[in-house]
Amino acid sequence: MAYRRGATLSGPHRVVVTGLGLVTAHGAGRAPNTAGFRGGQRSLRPVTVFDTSGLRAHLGGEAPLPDSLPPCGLTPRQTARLDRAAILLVLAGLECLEQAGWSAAEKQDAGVLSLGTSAAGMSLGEAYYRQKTVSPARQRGLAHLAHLYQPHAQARLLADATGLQASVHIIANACASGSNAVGHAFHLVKQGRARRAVAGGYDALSQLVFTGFDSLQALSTTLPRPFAADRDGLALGEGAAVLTLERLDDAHARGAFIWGEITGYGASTDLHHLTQPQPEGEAALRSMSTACAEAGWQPNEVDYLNAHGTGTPLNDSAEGAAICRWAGAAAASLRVSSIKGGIGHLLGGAGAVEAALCLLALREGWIPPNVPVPNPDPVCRFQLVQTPCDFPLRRVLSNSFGFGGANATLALQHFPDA
Amino acid sequence: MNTHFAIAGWGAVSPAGWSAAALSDAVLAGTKYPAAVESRHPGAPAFPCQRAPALDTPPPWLRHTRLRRASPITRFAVAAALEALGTAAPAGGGLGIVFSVQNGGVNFSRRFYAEVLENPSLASPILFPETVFNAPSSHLAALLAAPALNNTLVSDTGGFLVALDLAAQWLDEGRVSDCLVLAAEEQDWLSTEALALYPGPKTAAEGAAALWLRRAASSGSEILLEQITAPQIITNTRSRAEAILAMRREIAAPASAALFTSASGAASWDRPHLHAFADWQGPRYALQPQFGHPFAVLSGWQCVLACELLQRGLARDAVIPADTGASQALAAWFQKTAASA
Repeated sequence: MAYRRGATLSGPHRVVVTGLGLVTAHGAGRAPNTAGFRGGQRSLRPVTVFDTSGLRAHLGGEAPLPDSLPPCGLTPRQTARLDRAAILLVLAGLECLEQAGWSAAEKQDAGVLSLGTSAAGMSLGEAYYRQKTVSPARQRGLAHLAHLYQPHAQARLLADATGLQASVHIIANACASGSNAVGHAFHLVKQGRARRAVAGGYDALSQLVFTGFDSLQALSTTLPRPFAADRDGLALGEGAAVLTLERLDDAHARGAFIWGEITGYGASTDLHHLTQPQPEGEAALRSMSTACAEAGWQPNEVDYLNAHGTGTPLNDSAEGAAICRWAGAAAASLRVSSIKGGIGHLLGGAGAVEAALCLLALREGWIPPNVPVPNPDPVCRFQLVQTPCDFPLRRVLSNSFGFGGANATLALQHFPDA
Repeated sequence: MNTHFAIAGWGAVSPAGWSAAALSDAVLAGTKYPAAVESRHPGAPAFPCQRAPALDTPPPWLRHTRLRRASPITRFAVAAALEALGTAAPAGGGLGIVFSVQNGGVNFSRRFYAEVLENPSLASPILFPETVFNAPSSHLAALLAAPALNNTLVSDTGGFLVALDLAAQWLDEGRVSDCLVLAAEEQDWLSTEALALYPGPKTAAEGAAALWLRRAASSGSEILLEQITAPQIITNTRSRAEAILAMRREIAAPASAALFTSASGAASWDRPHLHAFADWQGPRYALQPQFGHPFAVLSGWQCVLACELLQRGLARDAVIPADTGASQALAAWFQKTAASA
């Protein structure tokens, strides 16, 4: 994509998702994640990647990683230096690009690589700090720690692994980053600024971030239970999702498999506080309304809303209020759930993973259940889906909200087979 | 719809001072700014850096509740933004913000991680939220009462131009009425010492740059955004030199345009850039040899300097290559017109 004054764009185009890869605590790949999300599986376990003994919380959605990567374009040296975050990203990207079936020429003209993350290779940054302070005379390895810690360096690893040539856009809007990245790529393809795009989000568990949420007392010391009246916080998780986006005409022309269609994207900024949402969810209301306006949907036409639903007292009450205000009379029939009780909150990866989850659900006709909450918060004047449920979904919204007041909503639609 | 966009204002914080004019005057005068040599503690290795000068008096906006404990990166960003918006600032409702950064809030990140290692149960909940990449742009949005789109992009030296491109996209699609494009960085030994690990410039710098982008007026003299080239990614199969050459081929500006070069003065690192622009005929202005390497702010300073010189009538066209990073290369072209669009 390039800007030229006065240039005419070819859009608007309908935008479909033709490739999908993901990794979460449920496992690496579409199959374990479909089973995990569809069945409402809880995949939280004691965190092992760093010591949590001095903290209030100890559970996390740690992703089970394979012993080795599938064959790819990374050099042995690059592979040896991958941290958890980069492994998650590359695994999701390889699954996505293999399934999308793009030719080498299409990969070389991939338009944009739009990724969301909040911490990128934070564990490498932590290692850099420790080496600098504990062994200040030791220089070996410092350069690659400082370099690969950065998200644009990790994006390059994905490009090298998959053979992509694309403009790199890294969006770091905290926990909304993944949705922002998918939404940004959607707009680029829709307007004709890019012929196709790769979009996603990722984050790995890291000691700094885990301790940060623990210090805020935002982590559950029991089990996270979004929308429960007695909820006590979230669990952090890790994961990645990568999607290929392209014009519907292009997808049809090459006979591509279509997971679903992206029809709207809304974003807004909550000015209330750096870490707390405005209690009535004003900004969330705007992001949902904007996404639906672009999609041309009324609230009563939405079958399911994938909530941000972290399980913190403040998020869920504000989001619940916003959902009810947005849906109005349609709230009573709106199905809502959060998957964060099952895999934790993936921060910058959450929006992309949840977009991927929604596409799986749209394609196969089911709703991912919330963890069971016998005592839902009174704000839940919608149908909180708490048990596995088959349903012929047609239209879905997915919310992501983050620190700094970043709010984003994606509108996703079932695409029928020809 | 009018797809012509103008740069309505600009601002900067740099080692030359807290204004775009200070930056530009220093470049035109060739003022030397000797780097300070700092070490993180007595006896530790020392590294060169260029700091923004301290303010004599705290500006009134520091009294805003969101800015009381903001670290330098936020203060630099706010100062540059307010200078760019000036007294004709748009009402907050339709103002978008695109903030680009490489190191981010590294002061608080370092302090917080030190506390984590010391005793995690005592790590400060006040520090942690300020470590998030989008904290500065969030504070700025709160100060400006701007609830519209607000993205933080992480990149290297070219991030500011990617942000400018996104701003043009938002304006073009009618998602915002005006857009602030920013970059800011702050000094910390973590990043200053990291710079020494790489080929290229060794003196780290701090500061901020801001442009206010809006639709061009139907008449009058304006600085127009003419072009931003597609970012050329550097990969295992395409070298940095090849990416820079691909970028150079896409620049549509006349070769007589003023070139706001990214050259750092480090010969081997600059070689691909100098080779790509060997035939450039226009005057060249460089910032890094004077001020050091400001990470994501570099292409922002180049843009601000270009606007200042275009405004002063010292050039009609300005080309800003952002090709000193290790991830991708792209360039922008601005043009001063007498009667625009």
